[in-house]
Amino acid sequence: MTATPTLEVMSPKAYKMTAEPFKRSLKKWAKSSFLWGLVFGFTIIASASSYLSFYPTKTSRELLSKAFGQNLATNAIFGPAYNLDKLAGFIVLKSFFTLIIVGAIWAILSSSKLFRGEEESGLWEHFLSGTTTLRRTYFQVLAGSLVGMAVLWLTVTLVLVAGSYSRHLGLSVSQNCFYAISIISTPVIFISIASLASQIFNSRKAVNVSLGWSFGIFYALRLVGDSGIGLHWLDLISPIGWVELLHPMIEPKPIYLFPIFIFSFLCLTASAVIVGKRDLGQALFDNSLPSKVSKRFLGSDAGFSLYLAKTTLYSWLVSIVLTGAVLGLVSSSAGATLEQSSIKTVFERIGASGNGTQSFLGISFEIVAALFSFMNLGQITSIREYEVAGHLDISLTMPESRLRWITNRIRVTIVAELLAGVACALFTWGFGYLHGGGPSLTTAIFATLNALPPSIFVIGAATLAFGLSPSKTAFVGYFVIGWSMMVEIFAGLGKTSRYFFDTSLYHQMSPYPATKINLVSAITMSAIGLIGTFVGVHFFRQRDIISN
Amino acid sequence: MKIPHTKGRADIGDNMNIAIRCEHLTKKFGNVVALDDLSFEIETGRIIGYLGPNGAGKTTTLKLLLGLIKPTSGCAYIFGMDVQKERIAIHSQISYVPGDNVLWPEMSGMQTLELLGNLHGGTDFEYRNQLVERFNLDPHKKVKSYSKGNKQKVTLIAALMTRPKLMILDEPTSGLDPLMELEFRNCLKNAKENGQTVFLSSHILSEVEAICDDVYILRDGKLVESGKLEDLKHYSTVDISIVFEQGVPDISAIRGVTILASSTDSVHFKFSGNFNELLLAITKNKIRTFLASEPSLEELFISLYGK
Ligand SMILES: Nc1ncnc2c1ncn2[C@@H]1O[C@H](COP(=O)(O)OP(=O)(O)OP(=O)(O)O)[C@@H](O)[C@H]1O
Ligand SMILES: [Mg+2]
Repeated sequence: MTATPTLEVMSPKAYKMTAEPFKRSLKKWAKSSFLWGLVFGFTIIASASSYLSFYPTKTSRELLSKAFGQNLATNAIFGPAYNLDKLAGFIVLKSFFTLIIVGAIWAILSSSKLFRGEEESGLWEHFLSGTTTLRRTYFQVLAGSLVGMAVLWLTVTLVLVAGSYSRHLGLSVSQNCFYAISIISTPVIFISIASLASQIFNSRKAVNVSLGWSFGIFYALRLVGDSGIGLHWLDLISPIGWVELLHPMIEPKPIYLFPIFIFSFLCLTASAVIVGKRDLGQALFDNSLPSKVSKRFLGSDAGFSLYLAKTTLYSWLVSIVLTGAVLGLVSSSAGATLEQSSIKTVFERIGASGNGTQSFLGISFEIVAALFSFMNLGQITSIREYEVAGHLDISLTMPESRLRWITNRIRVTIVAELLAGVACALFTWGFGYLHGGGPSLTTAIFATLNALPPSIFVIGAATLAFGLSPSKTAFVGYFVIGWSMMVEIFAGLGKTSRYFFDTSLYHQMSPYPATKINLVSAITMSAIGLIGTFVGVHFFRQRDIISN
Repeated sequence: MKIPHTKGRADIGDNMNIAIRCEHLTKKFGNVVALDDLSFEIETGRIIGYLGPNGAGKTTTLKLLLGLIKPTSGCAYIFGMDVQKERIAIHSQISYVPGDNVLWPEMSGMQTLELLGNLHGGTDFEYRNQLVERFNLDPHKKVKSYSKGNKQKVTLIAALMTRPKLMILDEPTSGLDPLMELEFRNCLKNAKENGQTVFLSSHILSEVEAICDDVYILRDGKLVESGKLEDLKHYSTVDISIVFEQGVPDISAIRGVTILASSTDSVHFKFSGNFNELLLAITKNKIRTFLASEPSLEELFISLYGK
């Protein structure tokens, strides 16, 4: 025995070769890429199966195509529908848009954490205490992210190929491959923007906000582009527009991969240039001057909890209000088309009847419910992040009880949700009214109220996890929401057991105003949410506080 | 497991000069025993050094005392109050400096001090401003733009400015430069004159020697030594290397010398005796270089107890 293992570990060469940042980044991406890949893949297969069972004949398919294909309102929100008389077209209509949104949100949250959050929390300092440079760390994190995208692509492709083979969907391998490429395009774009934003801003919060705005702007551009008022060129300047223009499955236009590639490449190159010039913890816009903080935010823990949450909550408020406004604007025209279309049967399967506008709002408010759920979950996971960062060690050694501390946090969450709810109802009603249609104010208010119970359930589930097994807080929360969304998409299928559907929060929520509010479900979900919260808080008061 | 239950506030009521009392504290994290049946008592008005190598269980003890984590068994009292059950009452009388920096990066030093002052209550504003000056801190920058030492200053000022009855400090001087460390020692001296109690953890022997009245030494979750510093002088071993111009004088007879290595012109030894005696002996020959350093705690433990 000549060399001891300790010596090997300590040698500078070993430090130089460290691939810790890459491994860490890959581990984070690969796991979630694989899971999302399965979810995406199965969602697509499920929508394909539902098409085959609902529209078995050529006539029924043509009818669907006629009715849905020309609806400008749904075009604007969900993207234009092509070739609905073919399976491929229907698949894209049913799944592509959702996957773009989910892919974007997932990529934004994960990459802002990896590219800025972990630098901010001091993790990168550990990497750099070896001989790894900032630049190398950055490239390793990026490489991990891109390999993660490859995992996503592979998973989706495999599920699609296997699914279309076993269900005799008749989709070719190249169709499936290209659809998978289209699906990973959105996350790739947002990873690139996140990497750049992380060089521009030196807090994860600022990165998240800037990404949220980019997403909003890209989406709005293509929304106007697709709204049929002769501004189609707007699609061409929006990265989300490019993704849509790929037209996977139907008539693939790989040419639009070109702007996507150039755009991502430019973002990444700019990031690489800045990262080579800046220091750890710094950014292009380095504002080391603190902003003024009003005294009332620093005067008590209640004020401080509001201070910590307010930036994020503003952003959510804006997105929810905008969603409400758009829904109000398009509800009457979307409803009119729905009325005479056979797609109504799809909605009927999920329990939405009534007139067109009501059906449309009933389904659309499930989106609002999902937004509320994400907003609340973000608040509870930020409580967990506060603990991991060690801030809780300070807060809980002040003369204030744990109960009081967590109550302050949850109260901010609930008050913010109620405010967002009121604003959403007002905007849905107001914009509908301006457009000469839409729901009455009472309907809008009840529709919003009806969208709250799932998000209260989410608070309960996440708080329970926070009390019992804090490191699982985010996982449990996202699982509940993700599962519910997936099951609700499956619901269009109409053939699986209803007990299965009942596990979805958004299926439990009745599609008011298309049907009556299901008070029993609403109360049950809220009650479970409250009980989960109480039990979670109870365990939080007893458990160890563990920071990183 | 049986723990003798002597507690209850009434019974310690006549013992109000006890600031901290641990009774058979044990803390396990899964299979790891971080603290093993720890018992001790600390009187008020003293500065206590809590020493131990990395991973000894210092931070774990402090967090138990603060009620942040729960003991697996045993219990602890601060001013006679149960640390698990009477957290609020206890926390209003103590302040805590965490081992890692855990401040809010986006806030300025002053905003942080205001927040913490308001949350704790009882800030002596004049003293706070004086501390900011003494520590030479620019309080109007964002915390994240501070260096490690400057961040540390913010938490130290926050802990001192409310003049609590007990301060629990986890490696309070980490990151401070020698000048600031001196300033900090002065602050602790003032605190002691005020009748405040200080419980500070460290793994640097000399630091504790300079500030503390009593020392408690922890290793692998067990208390290995405790008492007044003077009684523990045998810990103050120095590691000395000398290179002579020619020939090494005989020092092996001096009390407290343990020779580790020697050659014709140089000698390396541990020393824990009277320095005058040593100096007289070595200056007989011309010295080329002289290097004296304090052994790390871990080295001390190895030499004292074996591995
Ligand atoms: N949350 C935890 N989970 C698992 N093990 C832990 C946890 N916290 C501490 N430990 C373990 O308990 C032991 C004591 O740790 P502690 O942090 O108290 O040491 P310390 O004396 O403060 O060391 P240092 O000088 O490095 O700060 C270590 O072995 C550590 O690995
Ligand atoms: Mg420690």
